[in-house]
Amino acid sequence: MNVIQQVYSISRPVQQLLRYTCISSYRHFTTSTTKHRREIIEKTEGNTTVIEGNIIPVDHSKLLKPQTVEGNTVACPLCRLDLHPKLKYTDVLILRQFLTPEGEQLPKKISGLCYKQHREVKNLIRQAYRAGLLSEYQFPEGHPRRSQRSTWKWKKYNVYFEEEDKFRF
Amino acid sequence: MAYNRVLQWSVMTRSWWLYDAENQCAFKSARKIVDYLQGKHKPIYHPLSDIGDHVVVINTKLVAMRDDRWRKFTYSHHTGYAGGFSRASAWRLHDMDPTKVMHKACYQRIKGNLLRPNIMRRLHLFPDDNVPDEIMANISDQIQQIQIVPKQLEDYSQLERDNFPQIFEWPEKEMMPKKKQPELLQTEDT
Ligand SMILES: [Zn+2]
Repeated sequence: MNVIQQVYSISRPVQQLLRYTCISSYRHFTTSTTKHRREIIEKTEGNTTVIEGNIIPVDHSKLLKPQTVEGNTVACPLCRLDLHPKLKYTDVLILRQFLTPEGEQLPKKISGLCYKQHREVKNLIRQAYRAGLLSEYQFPEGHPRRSQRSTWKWKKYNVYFEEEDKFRF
Repeated sequence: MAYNRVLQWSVMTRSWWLYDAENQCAFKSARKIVDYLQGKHKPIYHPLSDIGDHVVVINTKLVAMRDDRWRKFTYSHHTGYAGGFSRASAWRLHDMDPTKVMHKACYQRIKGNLLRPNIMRRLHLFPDDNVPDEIMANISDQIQQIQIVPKQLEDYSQLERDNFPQIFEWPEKEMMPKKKQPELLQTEDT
Protein backbone atom coordinates (compact mmCIF):
# COMPACT_ATOMS: atom_id res chain seq x y z
CA MET A 1 0.00 0.00 0.00
CA ASN A 2 1.31 3.46 -0.92
CA VAL A 3 2.11 6.08 1.69
CA ILE A 4 -0.27 8.66 0.22
CA GLN A 5 -3.13 6.18 0.18
CA GLN A 6 -2.44 5.44 3.81
CA VAL A 7 -2.56 9.09 4.77
CA TYR A 8 -5.84 9.72 2.94
CA SER A 9 -7.42 6.85 4.74
CA ILE A 10 -6.63 8.38 8.13
CA SER A 11 -8.93 11.02 9.62
CA ARG A 12 -8.18 14.74 9.32
CA PRO A 13 -6.81 15.59 12.84
CA VAL A 14 -4.31 12.79 12.56
CA GLN A 15 -3.16 14.15 9.18
CA GLN A 16 -2.46 17.53 10.71
CA LEU A 17 -0.54 15.90 13.49
CA LEU A 18 1.61 14.07 10.96
CA ARG A 19 2.37 17.32 9.15
CA TYR A 20 3.51 18.99 12.34
CA THR A 21 5.84 16.15 13.16
CA CYS A 22 7.37 16.38 9.67
CA ILE A 23 8.01 20.11 10.01
CA SER A 24 9.36 19.92 13.51
CA SER A 25 11.84 17.25 12.54
CA TYR A 26 13.55 19.77 10.26
CA ARG A 27 14.05 22.22 13.08
CA HIS A 28 15.68 20.02 15.64
CA PHE A 29 18.36 18.70 13.38
CA THR A 30 21.20 21.18 12.82
CA THR A 31 24.77 20.68 11.67
CA SER A 32 26.01 24.28 11.91
CA THR A 33 27.12 26.07 15.07
CA THR A 34 23.94 27.76 16.09
CA LYS A 35 25.01 28.09 19.70
CA HIS A 36 27.87 30.53 19.70
CA ARG A 37 29.07 29.85 23.20
CA ARG A 38 30.23 26.31 22.42
CA GLU A 39 33.62 25.16 21.32
CA ILE A 40 34.12 22.25 18.92
CA ILE A 41 36.96 19.87 19.84
CA GLU A 42 38.14 16.97 17.67
CA LYS A 43 39.98 13.97 19.11
CA THR A 44 41.52 11.15 17.09
CA GLU A 45 42.51 7.86 18.71
CA GLY A 46 43.49 5.39 16.03
CA ASN A 47 40.53 4.82 13.73
CA THR A 48 37.93 6.60 15.87
CA THR A 49 37.38 10.35 15.83
CA VAL A 50 35.35 12.02 18.57
CA ILE A 51 33.83 15.49 18.03
CA GLU A 52 32.69 17.30 21.16
CA GLY A 53 30.86 20.58 21.65
CA ASN A 54 31.83 21.96 25.05
CA ILE A 55 30.32 25.08 26.64
CA ILE A 56 32.90 27.83 27.11
CA PRO A 57 32.82 29.00 30.74
CA VAL A 58 32.61 32.78 31.14
CA ASP A 59 33.17 34.18 34.60
CA HIS A 60 31.41 37.52 35.17
CA SER A 61 30.92 36.94 38.89
CA LYS A 62 33.08 39.90 39.91
CA LEU A 63 31.54 42.44 37.53
CA LEU A 64 27.96 41.21 37.54
CA LYS A 65 25.41 43.19 39.51
CA PRO A 66 23.38 41.26 42.11
CA GLN A 67 20.43 39.61 40.41
CA THR A 68 18.52 38.62 43.53
CA VAL A 69 16.96 40.60 46.35
CA GLU A 70 16.43 38.56 49.50
CA GLY A 71 16.55 35.35 47.57
CA ASN A 72 13.94 36.37 44.97
CA THR A 73 14.93 37.14 41.39
CA VAL A 74 13.78 40.52 40.10
CA ALA A 75 12.32 40.45 36.64
CA CYS A 76 14.15 42.94 34.47
CA PRO A 77 17.86 43.88 34.56
CA LEU A 78 17.20 47.60 34.03
CA CYS A 79 14.27 47.87 36.43
CA ARG A 80 16.46 46.11 38.97
CA LEU A 81 19.18 48.76 38.64
CA ASP A 82 16.78 51.70 39.04
CA LEU A 83 19.18 54.28 37.61
CA HIS A 84 19.08 57.93 38.72
CA PRO A 85 19.36 59.96 36.53
CA LYS A 86 17.75 57.93 33.78
CA LEU A 87 19.67 56.08 31.09
CA LYS A 88 20.74 58.41 28.29
CA TYR A 89 21.83 57.91 24.71
CA THR A 90 25.36 59.00 25.65
CA ASP A 91 25.84 56.04 28.03
CA VAL A 92 27.43 53.99 25.32
CA LEU A 93 29.10 51.41 27.54
CA ILE A 94 25.71 50.28 28.88
CA LEU A 95 23.94 50.33 25.52
CA ARG A 96 26.78 48.29 24.07
CA GLN A 97 25.76 45.33 26.22
CA PHE A 98 22.40 45.12 24.45
CA LEU A 99 23.96 44.82 21.00
CA THR A 100 25.06 41.90 18.87
CA PRO A 101 28.52 41.98 17.24
CA GLU A 102 26.77 43.27 14.10
CA GLY A 103 25.29 46.19 16.00
CA GLU A 104 21.67 45.10 16.27
CA GLN A 105 19.62 44.96 19.40
CA LEU A 106 19.37 41.66 21.27
CA PRO A 107 15.91 40.10 21.56
CA LYS A 108 14.05 40.14 24.84
CA LYS A 109 14.57 36.42 25.17
CA ILE A 110 18.30 36.91 25.71
CA SER A 111 18.51 40.32 27.36
CA GLY A 112 15.60 39.60 29.70
CA LEU A 113 14.17 43.11 29.49
CA CYS A 114 10.51 43.83 29.98
CA TYR A 115 8.53 45.33 27.10
CA LYS A 116 8.73 48.90 28.35
CA GLN A 117 12.49 48.91 28.88
CA HIS A 118 13.09 47.06 25.61
CA ARG A 119 11.25 49.82 23.77
CA GLU A 120 13.24 52.55 25.50
CA VAL A 121 16.59 50.90 24.87
CA LYS A 122 15.59 50.58 21.21
CA ASN A 123 14.95 54.30 21.10
CA LEU A 124 18.25 55.13 22.81
CA ILE A 125 20.29 52.93 20.49
CA ARG A 126 18.85 54.67 17.45
CA GLN A 127 19.59 58.07 18.94
CA ALA A 128 23.17 57.02 19.64
CA TYR A 129 23.59 55.87 16.04
CA ARG A 130 22.12 59.15 14.81
CA ALA A 131 24.53 61.18 16.92
CA GLY A 132 27.44 59.11 15.61
CA LEU A 133 28.47 57.62 18.95
CA LEU A 134 28.29 53.97 17.85
CA SER A 135 30.12 54.31 14.55
CA GLU A 136 32.36 51.39 15.55
CA TYR A 137 29.66 48.90 14.51
CA GLN A 138 29.46 48.33 10.80
CA PHE A 139 27.42 46.31 8.36
CA PRO A 140 29.08 43.17 7.03
CA GLU A 141 29.61 44.90 3.67
CA GLY A 142 31.61 47.71 5.28
CA HIS A 143 29.04 50.50 5.23
CA PRO A 144 29.38 52.58 8.38
CA ARG A 145 26.21 52.64 10.45
CA ARG A 146 26.75 56.28 11.23
CA SER A 147 23.81 58.09 9.75
CA GLN A 148 25.74 61.35 9.58
CA ARG A 149 27.54 60.04 6.54
CA SER A 150 24.30 59.10 4.83
CA THR A 151 23.14 60.64 1.62
CA TRP A 152 20.38 62.64 3.33
CA LYS A 153 21.51 66.20 3.31
CA TRP A 154 20.08 67.24 6.66
CA LYS A 155 21.77 64.35 8.47
CA LYS A 156 25.36 65.40 7.99
CA TYR A 157 25.50 67.89 10.87
CA ASN A 158 25.71 67.30 14.61
CA VAL A 159 22.59 66.63 16.65
CA TYR A 160 21.71 66.15 20.28
CA PHE A 161 18.67 64.73 22.05
CA GLU A 162 16.73 65.56 25.16
CA GLU A 163 14.98 63.11 27.44
CA GLU A 164 11.52 63.43 25.93
CA ASP A 165 12.63 63.06 22.31
CA LYS A 166 11.43 59.99 20.50
CA PHE A 167 13.32 58.90 17.42
CA ARG A 168 11.32 59.23 14.25
CA PHE A 169 12.16 57.30 11.13
CA MET B 1 43.89 93.70 47.54
CA ALA B 2 45.50 93.43 44.15
CA TYR B 3 42.84 91.03 42.91
CA ASN B 4 39.98 93.46 43.44
CA ARG B 5 41.91 96.14 41.61
CA VAL B 6 42.32 93.83 38.59
CA LEU B 7 38.61 93.06 38.68
CA GLN B 8 37.84 96.77 38.50
CA TRP B 9 40.16 97.19 35.52
CA SER B 10 38.52 94.31 33.69
CA VAL B 11 35.10 95.89 34.21
CA MET B 12 36.23 99.12 32.61
CA THR B 13 38.14 97.62 29.66
CA ARG B 14 36.90 95.71 26.63
CA SER B 15 38.14 92.17 27.25
CA TRP B 16 38.04 89.36 24.69
CA TRP B 17 36.44 85.95 25.27
CA LEU B 18 36.79 82.65 23.45
CA TYR B 19 33.93 80.17 22.93
CA ASP B 20 34.18 76.72 21.38
CA ALA B 21 30.90 75.84 19.63
CA GLU B 22 31.68 72.22 18.87
CA ASN B 23 28.63 70.01 19.61
CA GLN B 24 26.87 72.90 21.34
CA CYS B 25 23.30 73.95 20.72
CA ALA B 26 23.25 77.14 18.64
CA PHE B 27 20.30 78.76 20.40
CA LYS B 28 21.28 77.88 23.94
CA SER B 29 24.84 79.09 23.50
CA ALA B 30 23.58 82.30 21.86
CA ARG B 31 21.69 83.11 25.02
CA LYS B 32 24.96 82.99 26.95
CA ILE B 33 27.13 84.79 24.39
CA VAL B 34 24.73 87.72 24.07
CA ASP B 35 25.14 88.53 27.77
CA TYR B 36 28.85 88.98 27.25
CA LEU B 37 28.35 91.10 24.13
CA GLN B 38 26.01 93.49 25.89
CA GLY B 39 27.98 93.56 29.14
CA LYS B 40 25.26 92.02 31.29
CA HIS B 41 27.84 89.95 33.18
CA LYS B 42 29.24 93.15 34.71
CA PRO B 43 27.83 94.72 37.90
CA ILE B 44 27.64 98.21 36.37
CA TYR B 45 25.45 97.25 33.42
CA HIS B 46 23.22 99.81 31.82
CA PRO B 47 21.95 99.59 28.22
CA LEU B 48 23.20 103.07 27.35
CA SER B 49 26.64 102.67 28.89
CA ASP B 50 28.75 101.02 26.21
CA ILE B 51 30.60 98.33 28.19
CA GLY B 52 30.16 95.15 26.13
CA ASP B 53 32.97 92.68 25.50
CA HIS B 54 34.25 90.95 22.40
CA VAL B 55 33.48 87.25 21.86
CA VAL B 56 35.36 85.01 19.42
CA VAL B 57 33.40 81.87 18.50
CA ILE B 58 35.30 79.01 16.84
CA ASN B 59 34.12 75.76 15.23
CA THR B 60 30.74 77.13 14.21
CA LYS B 61 30.56 74.52 11.46
CA LEU B 62 30.28 71.78 14.12
CA VAL B 63 27.35 73.40 15.88
CA ALA B 64 24.54 71.07 16.98
CA MET B 65 20.76 71.22 16.80
CA ARG B 66 18.17 69.24 18.63
CA ASP B 67 16.48 66.14 17.15
CA ASP B 68 14.93 67.16 13.79
CA ARG B 69 15.69 70.87 13.83
CA TRP B 70 18.15 70.85 10.93
CA ARG B 71 15.30 69.85 8.66
CA LYS B 72 12.35 71.57 10.34
CA PHE B 73 13.71 74.92 11.49
CA THR B 74 13.35 77.49 8.70
CA TYR B 75 14.68 80.99 8.09
CA SER B 76 12.56 83.34 6.03
CA HIS B 77 13.46 86.56 4.27
CA HIS B 78 11.58 89.21 2.34
CA THR B 79 13.22 91.71 -0.01
CA GLY B 80 10.32 94.15 0.17
CA TYR B 81 9.32 93.80 -3.46
CA ALA B 82 6.42 91.75 -4.75
CA GLY B 83 7.24 88.07 -4.84
CA GLY B 84 10.38 88.65 -2.87
CA PHE B 85 9.69 86.10 -0.18
CA SER B 86 12.15 83.27 0.28
CA ARG B 87 12.59 80.56 2.86
CA ALA B 88 15.39 78.10 3.60
CA SER B 89 15.72 75.29 6.11
CA ALA B 90 18.57 75.37 8.61
CA TRP B 91 20.74 72.76 6.89
CA ARG B 92 20.55 74.67 3.60
CA LEU B 93 21.59 77.91 5.24
CA HIS B 94 24.42 76.09 6.99
CA ASP B 95 25.59 74.73 3.62
CA MET B 96 25.79 78.23 2.16
CA ASP B 97 27.56 79.86 5.11
CA PRO B 98 28.66 77.83 8.18
CA THR B 99 28.69 80.95 10.40
CA LYS B 100 25.22 82.18 9.47
CA VAL B 101 23.20 80.05 11.90
CA MET B 102 25.24 81.23 14.88
CA HIS B 103 25.06 84.84 13.67
CA LYS B 104 21.29 84.80 13.31
CA ALA B 105 20.82 83.07 16.67
CA CYS B 106 22.74 85.87 18.40
CA TYR B 107 21.09 88.59 16.32
CA GLN B 108 17.57 87.45 17.18
CA ARG B 109 18.45 87.27 20.85
CA ILE B 110 19.32 90.98 21.12
CA LYS B 111 16.63 93.60 21.46
CA GLY B 112 15.93 95.37 18.16
CA ASN B 113 17.09 98.95 18.59
CA LEU B 114 19.82 101.20 17.21
CA LEU B 115 22.44 99.68 19.53
CA ARG B 116 22.14 96.24 17.96
CA PRO B 117 24.43 96.69 14.93
CA ASN B 118 27.23 97.99 17.15
CA ILE B 119 26.79 95.11 19.58
CA MET B 120 26.89 92.58 16.73
CA ARG B 121 30.15 94.08 15.49
CA ARG B 122 31.88 92.71 18.59
CA LEU B 123 31.01 89.12 17.65
CA HIS B 124 33.69 87.31 15.64
CA LEU B 125 32.71 83.99 14.06
CA PHE B 126 35.04 81.40 12.53
CA PRO B 127 33.95 78.09 10.93
CA ASP B 128 37.16 76.29 11.97
CA ASP B 129 39.75 76.86 14.67
CA ASN B 130 41.95 78.84 12.28
CA VAL B 131 41.93 82.24 13.96
CA PRO B 132 44.33 85.01 12.90
CA ASP B 133 47.08 85.77 15.38
CA GLU B 134 46.04 89.41 15.72
CA ILE B 135 42.72 88.33 17.22
CA MET B 136 44.17 85.45 19.22
CA ALA B 137 46.64 87.77 20.94
CA ASN B 138 43.79 89.79 22.52
CA ILE B 139 41.99 86.87 24.14
CA SER B 140 42.20 86.76 27.92
CA ASP B 141 39.65 84.14 29.01
CA GLN B 142 37.27 81.44 27.88
CA ILE B 143 33.49 81.07 28.20
CA GLN B 144 32.45 77.70 29.57
CA GLN B 145 30.54 75.36 27.25
CA ILE B 146 26.91 74.74 28.13
CA GLN B 147 26.68 71.10 27.06
CA ILE B 148 28.96 68.15 27.69
CA VAL B 149 30.47 66.85 24.47
CA PRO B 150 29.42 63.18 24.27
CA LYS B 151 32.15 60.57 24.14
CA GLN B 152 32.22 58.07 21.29
CA LEU B 153 32.58 54.35 21.83
CA GLU B 154 35.91 54.45 20.01
CA ASP B 155 37.32 56.83 22.59
CA TYR B 156 36.99 54.29 25.42
CA SER B 157 40.00 52.06 25.91
CA GLN B 158 39.80 48.27 26.11
CA LEU B 159 40.64 48.34 29.83
CA GLU B 160 37.75 50.71 30.50
CA ARG B 161 35.33 48.44 28.67
CA ASP B 162 36.44 45.29 30.47
CA ASN B 163 36.18 46.82 33.94
CA PHE B 164 32.74 48.32 33.34
CA PRO B 165 30.07 46.54 35.42
CA GLN B 166 27.83 44.22 33.46
CA ILE B 167 24.09 44.42 33.78
CA PHE B 168 23.04 40.92 32.80
CA GLU B 169 24.55 37.60 31.85
CA TRP B 170 23.62 35.62 28.81
CA PRO B 171 21.61 32.47 29.39
CA GLU B 172 23.79 29.41 28.82
CA LYS B 173 21.69 27.41 26.39
CA GLU B 174 20.21 30.31 24.46
CA MET B 175 20.64 30.77 20.74
CA MET B 176 22.08 33.85 19.14
CA PRO B 177 19.77 35.62 16.70
CA LYS B 178 20.21 34.48 13.14
CA LYS B 179 22.40 36.49 10.85
CA LYS B 180 20.70 38.08 7.90
CA GLN B 181 21.72 36.30 4.75
CA PRO B 182 21.53 38.11 1.42
CA GLU B 183 18.75 36.90 -0.85
CA LEU B 184 19.85 35.11 -4.00
CA LEU B 185 18.65 36.62 -7.24
CA GLN B 186 17.37 34.14 -9.79
CA THR B 187 18.56 35.71 -13.00
CA GLU B 188 20.61 33.02 -14.71
CA ASP B 189 17.93 30.32 -14.54
CA THR B 190 15.76 31.86 -17.24
ZN1 LIG C 1 11.59 45.92 33.51
